[in-house]
Amino acid sequence: MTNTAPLLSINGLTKRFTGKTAVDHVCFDIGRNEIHALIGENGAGKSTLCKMLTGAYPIDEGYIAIEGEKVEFKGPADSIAKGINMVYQERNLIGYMTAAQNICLGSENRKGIALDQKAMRERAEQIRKQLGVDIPLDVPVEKMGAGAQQLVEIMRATSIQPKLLILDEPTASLGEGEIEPFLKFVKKLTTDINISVIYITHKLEEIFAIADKVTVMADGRKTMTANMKDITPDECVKAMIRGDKIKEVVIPPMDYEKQEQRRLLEVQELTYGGQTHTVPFHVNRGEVVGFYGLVGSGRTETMEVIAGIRPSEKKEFVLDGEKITGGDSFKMIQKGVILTPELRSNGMFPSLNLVENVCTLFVNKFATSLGMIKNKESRAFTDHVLQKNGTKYTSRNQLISELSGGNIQKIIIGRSVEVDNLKLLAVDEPTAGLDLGAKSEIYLKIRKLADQLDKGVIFISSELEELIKVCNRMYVFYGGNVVKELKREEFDRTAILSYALGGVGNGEQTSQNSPQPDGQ
Amino acid sequence: MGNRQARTLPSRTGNKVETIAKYFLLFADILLLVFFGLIDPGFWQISNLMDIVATAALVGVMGMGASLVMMVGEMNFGVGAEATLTATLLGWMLGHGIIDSYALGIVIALLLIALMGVIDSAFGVVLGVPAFIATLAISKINDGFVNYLTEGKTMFYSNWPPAFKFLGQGKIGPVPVMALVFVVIALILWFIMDKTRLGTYIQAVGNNANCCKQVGINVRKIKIIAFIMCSVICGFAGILSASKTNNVMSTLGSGIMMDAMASAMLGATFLRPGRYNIQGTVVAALLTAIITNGIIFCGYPDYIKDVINGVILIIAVGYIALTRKEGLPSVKMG
Repeated sequence: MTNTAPLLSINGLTKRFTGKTAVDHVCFDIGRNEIHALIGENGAGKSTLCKMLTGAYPIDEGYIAIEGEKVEFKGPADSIAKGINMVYQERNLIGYMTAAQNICLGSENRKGIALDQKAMRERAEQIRKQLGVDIPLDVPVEKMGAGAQQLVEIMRATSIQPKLLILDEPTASLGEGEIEPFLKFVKKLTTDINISVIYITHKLEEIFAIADKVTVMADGRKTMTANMKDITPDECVKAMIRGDKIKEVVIPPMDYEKQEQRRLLEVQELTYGGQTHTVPFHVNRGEVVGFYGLVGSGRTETMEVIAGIRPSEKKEFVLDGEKITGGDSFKMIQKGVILTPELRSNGMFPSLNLVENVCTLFVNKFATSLGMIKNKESRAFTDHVLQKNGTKYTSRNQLISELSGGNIQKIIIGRSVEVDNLKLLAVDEPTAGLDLGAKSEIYLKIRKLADQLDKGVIFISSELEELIKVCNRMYVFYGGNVVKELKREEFDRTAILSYALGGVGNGEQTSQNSPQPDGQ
Repeated sequence: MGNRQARTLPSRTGNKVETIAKYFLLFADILLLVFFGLIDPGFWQISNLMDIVATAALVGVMGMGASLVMMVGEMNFGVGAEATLTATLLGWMLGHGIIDSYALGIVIALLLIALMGVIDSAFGVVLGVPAFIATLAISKINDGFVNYLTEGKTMFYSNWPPAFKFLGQGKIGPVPVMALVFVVIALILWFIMDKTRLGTYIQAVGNNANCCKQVGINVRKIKIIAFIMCSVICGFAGILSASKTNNVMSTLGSGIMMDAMASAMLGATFLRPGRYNIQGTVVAALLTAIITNGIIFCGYPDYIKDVINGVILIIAVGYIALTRKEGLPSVKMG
């Protein structure tokens, strides 16, 4: 009766770049109204595969069939016309335009030669009703939160009535409390407007929550396609990493009482941005302390004030027995406190080479008294840092931006560790955008600093799982303040999340009312 | 990520300040009109006010042209040279009797300068040379060509038709033609920029080119159109200027270019802070003209106007830098 062929069938798709096969004879089918998760480490070929589906890359070998009919795309416009649309990981919106204008961007209604704003507003309203989302249509999108912006993009993508929607790491920019409603929304989307979804992600718990099927890729090949019912997370992980690249993080037991004698940093209150924040926390030698909180909770801001990066009205804290009331980042580094930035791009000079990127932190060390750079020493030092941290690179003269995110992070952390007299290293979102293998290497590096080198480490992250895995203690931030301190033995996901949402940590209560962050 | 909240929250309390800042240029216009009028009531004569609009026309028209390229996130440093070249081509063609009709001459000169817009974008957009460097280089070639045609002298031919002076010196009733032309061009460009698809795309491309690519807008095409429109409008400013003085000097364009660029940037503080807009450029060009006219009319020394103009520009653009993280498209660095 109806067409029984799968909605989309991928047959032996292959893409070669000079010297490397990025996607190697990948085959799988996507059924109707199906959420098909696509997972794999960075560089596994997920993006390349999707770029072939959207017509951004020409196909070297193999073909795509939509509802049994072979199709060929010359460019993105062809793919959109055949009903495939993609929402990318990074936001693609015009900030000053309203949601309605953004939704109609590229397919404006016109009255004569003038734009018909009214008709566009109505069209956006229709889409909003159809998807059942509640976002303002007449507010410039730059005034909206990350979650609302994401919805605007999905509304735009669905405005052309696609058959297949590709979502690339859609929850990467969302706060913890926003993810659950978003997943429900995606699930509803498939039946509401009758589409299928390819859902690309790193987060296994998300695909087990919503996906019908999963395809796993590794090194450009498909390693598995399975129904979610039939597999376990462990099997997924095994399919993602061939061999045993993931190393277990081992945390030695800790004697807290003894620990407290080895106080490194003690903070009570900080005043910045016109407000006094109560942030009672301390860090001891040889321990990893986690900072957890939702976006805008002050977890980053607090550390930036301590490290002298963010201007503050009043700060007073004790570092290794010394009372500190001021000082910029340069002074703080001399005192042995260094913060690696939340955005990796702020921690590197993209158009400088590895030597320059490693050694700029040590200008005094590698310059003569006249200010000439000591080339030989700085090269040797760079080699030392690169090798010690197991960085993969072809030449120390290559640009840092040519390396993968994981290797860049290794360099940023690796050079920070080399600071003379280092006492406290703070890492802010060090694993953002990294694959599992690279993440576990960062975790080991952090643990090694605390366990073997006896430094204090502050680990700031929006991923609760990794903090639970790596930290000895954790502080939860809410509204710029520290609201809770937890020891490793007290770590409890629901309770921590509840504190982060401004609750009192009663796990049972919050698990019934699904958490909703206010405002953003 | 934390920045997003920090940036949006204070705006609720700062609404009043924002409104004042938004219309600061217009307030400044009115304030200065009142100020100069109180010093010398003759300043308020209709004929003088008309003069002001006519003075603003040269800077304003070129400023609007330049702002189109700025809107797409590029920079055209050749607008002055393009204005001079257009006037020179027109004067040369009419003077050598190649064309008799003034109107036809304008059309041909503008078509030729449109070609210059194509050349600009060929380097600046298609080849990917940073546009401000490419246009700077091309403007040098233009300068040389102008000097070749004018033989290094101020160009004037006695066989120029009387119509040559009409645009710059003619009057319809009490209204100078130049002022009228300024208003008409401003209205057309305002309509295109704010009410049509092309204008929407031109502004969108400067804001987020990636987003435009994703929804199927041809970014390259939009940029090329902006460069061509810019060259034609600035070329027309050159024709206006030549008509006003009834000759063509090699410094014609460079004399107004900096003021024109400044009014485009100043204009970006008006109405939609952080974004270039036609309305703002017009108000900013009027501000410059009011200051120039008022200073001379009230008998103050000439240099004061430059100082005042400079102070206003640095305050206004400084305000944008303070309030808008992303700064102005095309002048932000990195």
